[in-house]
Amino acid sequence: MKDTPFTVTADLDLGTRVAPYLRGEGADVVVAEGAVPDSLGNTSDGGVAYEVDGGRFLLHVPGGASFLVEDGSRITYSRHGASDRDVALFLLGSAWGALCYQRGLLPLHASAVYHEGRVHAFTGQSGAGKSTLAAALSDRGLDFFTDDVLIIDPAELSQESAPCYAGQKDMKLWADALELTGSQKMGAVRDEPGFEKFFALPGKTETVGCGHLASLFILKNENARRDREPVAIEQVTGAEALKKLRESVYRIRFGNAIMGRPALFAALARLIAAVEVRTFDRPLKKREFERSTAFMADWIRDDGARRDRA
Amino acid sequence: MRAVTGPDRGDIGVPHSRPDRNLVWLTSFPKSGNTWTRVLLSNLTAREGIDNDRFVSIAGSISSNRAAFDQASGLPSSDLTDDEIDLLRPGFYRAQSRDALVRIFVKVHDGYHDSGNGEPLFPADCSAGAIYLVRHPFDVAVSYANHQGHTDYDRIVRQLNDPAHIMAGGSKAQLRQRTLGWRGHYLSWQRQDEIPVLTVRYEDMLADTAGELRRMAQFLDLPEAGDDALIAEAVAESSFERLRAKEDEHGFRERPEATGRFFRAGRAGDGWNVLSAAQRQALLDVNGDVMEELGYRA
Repeated sequence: MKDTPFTVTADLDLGTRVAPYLRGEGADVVVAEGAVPDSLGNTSDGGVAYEVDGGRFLLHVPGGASFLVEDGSRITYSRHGASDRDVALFLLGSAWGALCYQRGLLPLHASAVYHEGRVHAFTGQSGAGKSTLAAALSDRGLDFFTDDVLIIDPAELSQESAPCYAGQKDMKLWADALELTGSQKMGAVRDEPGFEKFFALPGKTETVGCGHLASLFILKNENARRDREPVAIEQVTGAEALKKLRESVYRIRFGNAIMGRPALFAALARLIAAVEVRTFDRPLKKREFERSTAFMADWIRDDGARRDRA
Repeated sequence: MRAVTGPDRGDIGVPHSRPDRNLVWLTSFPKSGNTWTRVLLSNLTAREGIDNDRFVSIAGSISSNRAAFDQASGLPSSDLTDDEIDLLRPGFYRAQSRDALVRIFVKVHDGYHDSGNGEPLFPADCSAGAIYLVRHPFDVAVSYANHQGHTDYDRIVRQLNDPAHIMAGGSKAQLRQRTLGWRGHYLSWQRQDEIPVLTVRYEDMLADTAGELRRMAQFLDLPEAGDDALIAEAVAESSFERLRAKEDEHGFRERPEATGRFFRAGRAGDGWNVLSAAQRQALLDVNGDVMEELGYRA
């Protein structure tokens, strides 16, 4: 199994986030500064800040950089005054997601930890607490695996196994999450003054970039608001699991436009056969965080024993 | 009426009468009857689609829905500044209107303001209209404190009086909303003339729920507007007693974790009993002109 799903040569410093992907030359993907059009003209799909036309994807950050992603092999960026840091941030976010789809890969919007060769991933809407939970688990001795994006190669899926790749090896945490998790604060994510989000070092990290996706947890915060047992893990199966899995796909509109709905659906159907989907419901109150994190850490540590018993 | 179901989202709602302007803004300062209005409109237009999870069936969410913004923009809002997000919000709402199969009702706690480049945050060219819900600020203060899970009424009075008061943003689950304070919120929506506005007082909704629901239905040009029996049924189904019982049985998704109950009192006048004379005076000092305009006694 490869360590990364593709390799990259870049003419700017992409930081340590995607270090395993980087090559001096001869890489699968070239990232370079150059001219980026304002529009693709006749597009097959588009959103507020992006356009898709066949093998081309265009993205504009408001007041900042623009990106043209072509044929899964090239990302051209135009700065419009944006710093290296800001260019790298959006290049490794939405543009990276579009690149994955162009290469036939399935990116999931998930952060994950690694334990005994198995990857346990956490997904949910933006702000659901994916990165915070992964950071907190790594501070409790589990290996951090990826932040924000987890990549699946549908061609590698089998009934028994779902190989997966780390999308980002650095964590991004808001100031309050840093305080909550105890992770080590690094540089600011943006150059904008007052933007209180930082790169962070996990407490414990696994350097390998690939693993076997064992479980996907959908993060929820419902029970505490419905006077139920506030911390709970529940398995989801069948159509509901497929629906949850679909909701965890990174920028699914990109996927629909670039891969096409049938190919995307087929990839999800193959993935669901190899991965267990669960919900993880927990309170978001700070004073409850320690308890819910310990609950999840124990569940993951007990995973091997559970499988042995089964 | 004929219910319409969108194939992708399963929403049920009213067919749109103006295909180019599909968004109805349900706008208010927080805790002014917005959720109750959504429940009333759901019970009037699409009762068969109501579930025990959200209590509503009309299509649409809140203007500050971060996940919907991320989907529509293709950008991660959590890596954008709040000001950058505002720049993209008009386009976000236009995309919602363009993609809508039914009329969309969007809850709004933002004041009516500029997106940062001279364009209004809420574009008229995708707006069918706005229902502006307003409630006496003394009662808003008590309810808003309960919503935040505390009884620090001095803090709440400061928030209502602060033109720079914001909700969420940054690391929070919702996008930033600049309310402009209680007075600023009201005046910003009343002073703009781009989007037609129907103003509804919460106190009038309590006193004559059917009459106010009928006014809303007429404003929205709903076919149910002339059906008194349907309106009476919708009012009965949306009573506070009914909603409280439902919340007790099933919980309510929009209830904040810090709050004991979302559907709390549903009455007018608590503010006089709970706030101190100094707190009431502080609200009057800042908001007196608008209170007088709305017939709110001090």
